[in-house]
Amino acid sequence: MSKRLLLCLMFAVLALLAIGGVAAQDGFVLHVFGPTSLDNLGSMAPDEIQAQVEQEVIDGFLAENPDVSNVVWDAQGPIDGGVTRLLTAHLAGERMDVIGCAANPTNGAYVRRGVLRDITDDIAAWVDRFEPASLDAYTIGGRVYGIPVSPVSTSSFFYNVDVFNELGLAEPDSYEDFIAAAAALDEAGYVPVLHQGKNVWMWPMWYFETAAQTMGDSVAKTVQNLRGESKFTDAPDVEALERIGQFVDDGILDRDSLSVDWDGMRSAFASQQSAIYYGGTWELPWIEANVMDFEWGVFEFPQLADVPGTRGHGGGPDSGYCIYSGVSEEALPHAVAFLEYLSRPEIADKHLGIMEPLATSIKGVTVVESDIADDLRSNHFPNTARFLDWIWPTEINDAFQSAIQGIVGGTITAEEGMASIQNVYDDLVFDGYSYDD
Amino acid sequence: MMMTPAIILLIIFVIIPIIYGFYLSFHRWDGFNSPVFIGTRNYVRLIERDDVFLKAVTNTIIFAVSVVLFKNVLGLFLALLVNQKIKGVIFFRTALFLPVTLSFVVIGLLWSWIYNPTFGLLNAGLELLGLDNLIRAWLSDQATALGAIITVDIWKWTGFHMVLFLAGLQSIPKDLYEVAIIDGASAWARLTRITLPLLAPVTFISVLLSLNGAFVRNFELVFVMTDGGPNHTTEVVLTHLVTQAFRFGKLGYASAMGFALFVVVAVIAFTYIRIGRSGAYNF
Repeated sequence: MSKRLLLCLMFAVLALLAIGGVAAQDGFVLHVFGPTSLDNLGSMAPDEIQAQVEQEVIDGFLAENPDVSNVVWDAQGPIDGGVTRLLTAHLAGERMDVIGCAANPTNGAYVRRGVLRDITDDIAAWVDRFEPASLDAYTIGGRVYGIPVSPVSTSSFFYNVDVFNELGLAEPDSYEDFIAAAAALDEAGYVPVLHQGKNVWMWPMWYFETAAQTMGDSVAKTVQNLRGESKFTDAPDVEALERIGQFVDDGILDRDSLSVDWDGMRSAFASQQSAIYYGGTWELPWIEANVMDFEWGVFEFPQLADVPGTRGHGGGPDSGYCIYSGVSEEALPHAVAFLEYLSRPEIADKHLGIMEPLATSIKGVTVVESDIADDLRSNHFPNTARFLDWIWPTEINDAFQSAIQGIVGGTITAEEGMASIQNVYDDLVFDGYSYDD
Repeated sequence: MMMTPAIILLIIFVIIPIIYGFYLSFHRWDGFNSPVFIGTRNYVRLIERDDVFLKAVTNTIIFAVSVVLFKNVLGLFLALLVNQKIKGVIFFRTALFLPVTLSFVVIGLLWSWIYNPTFGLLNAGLELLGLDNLIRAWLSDQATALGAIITVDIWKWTGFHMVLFLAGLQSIPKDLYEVAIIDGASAWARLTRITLPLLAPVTFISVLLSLNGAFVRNFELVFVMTDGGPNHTTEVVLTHLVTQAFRFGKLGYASAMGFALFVVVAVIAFTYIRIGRSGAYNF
């Protein structure tokens, strides 16, 4: 065989491969960008089930939309690196059509920086699929920037029922009850409450609880602070921070929590080193799958003494989907179609249902039935208020995280902590920040 | 002509980014919208309004002074030890150099576990020795967190400085020591009159490298181990800069911070080189 013939054959093979490749990519490719791994569909479900359901949903969408040849789903990284990942993707010119957008950064950073498209008109025809309170989490200044596609969470203490029974302890209702229970647990050799304090973004959840009680209406007071009508250094705000420190001083919350991560907190609970931990109801699938050696239960954050307010646990729909403000005209209808498809009750039932939700942001999705689920729905949900870090700008949120670390570590006073937060707010205003803009 | 590609690469990847960074430091830019010129406002904020930056500068200086001192003193001490003709010296040299080859991320995770208050080796060891009063949460106790990270950085780099000093020691002629011994010079006199003066050029390089690293290569370890916490206790300029740039979208302000750090490092390095040239290091 001559060299020329060989070259011709190779060229022909390459040409065929290239044509095949082009044919395979024929049609529109929709890019879904998730700043964190939590932006996968059904992210809280076991990995293999999550991947299977995600593929099933994407296949269903592709079957209905023949113009779209593929959906590229890129969601990875830790939750606290989400803003960074989105920024670097934008700066690098990475293609993004749909963005997985947790409510926290959507309110704290994305909308303020113009990353997201106002989709109020795009979703008008099917907006009634969503629970109004959930949609509120993505509504800023009356405009909608994302659809909530998520289980709706609340916050709770998870505790070892067997240990409580063994020590003759009842679920603490008041703060005084909690002190007494913590003392008994400590004496019996258990860490009363171990928190995942190394994940700094979890600390403000304690503040949401105390603020709801020291302020009465913590959401309204927070908005007033951000409008400059009141200050973070006001007495109820300072007291809310002070009360967190009291949990440490009174022996309830372990100071070592500052160096414990999510896995450490969970393993200490599962191995019965600690008797209680605090978190969102997104913990439920993990507890059900991993805590086998003892009975566990839930109880509400205790009612504090001498405060004007009542319980208010942080909660809401944690994640959703938005459309990138730089989306091309060609991609926009496909991106809207994808959001519409994801939010259909029968489709949401697949990707939300696998997370065994207590409640969901989309109406008509099957929710989990159990005694604990009923307890949470009937007792905890009515006392749930919006997460304040869905109102604070990211900078304020970070300042809270640091201040609470300082309080828990015992190195700053509540007054100093709140003054540092007020300074951050003043600096934002100096930089042109306005809550209503 | 042979230098041209190198010069082009230097211009593209170093000079232009530096100039662009300096340009950005006079702008407000969040990475998503167009930069807005704000004059020297970023620099004013750096000095007058940012308490965390001042804390980060203080921590960076503590970090730098500690690591420069300990890396070099320990490096010299270890070099003197492994320069002896002792059994297994190759093993000791290799073992002491090993941490240099590990990445910051690996080392950060490894030491985070060693320092872990519940499962960590350090507290377990202290308990075994009956030193229960020293047991603490090393990385979350605000009194020990920065020191704990400094210790890890020293542990990682001491082997590198040991090798530098070892090379210097092995280049000193043996007959100088033989003559000194015949003259009755004590070990201390040999160290201070022969070894240290002749190691001056190596010491100069070793200190310069550690000084530079202490200011501009402390990000990874702090980021992995504490991310600047708790409550900014371990915040260094680089972690604060990265937070401002990529978390808060203040890329112009972060650029200003970068240039402030550049000026500080440049002044220190320049002063140090001037001192070196003035004869302090005898070369």
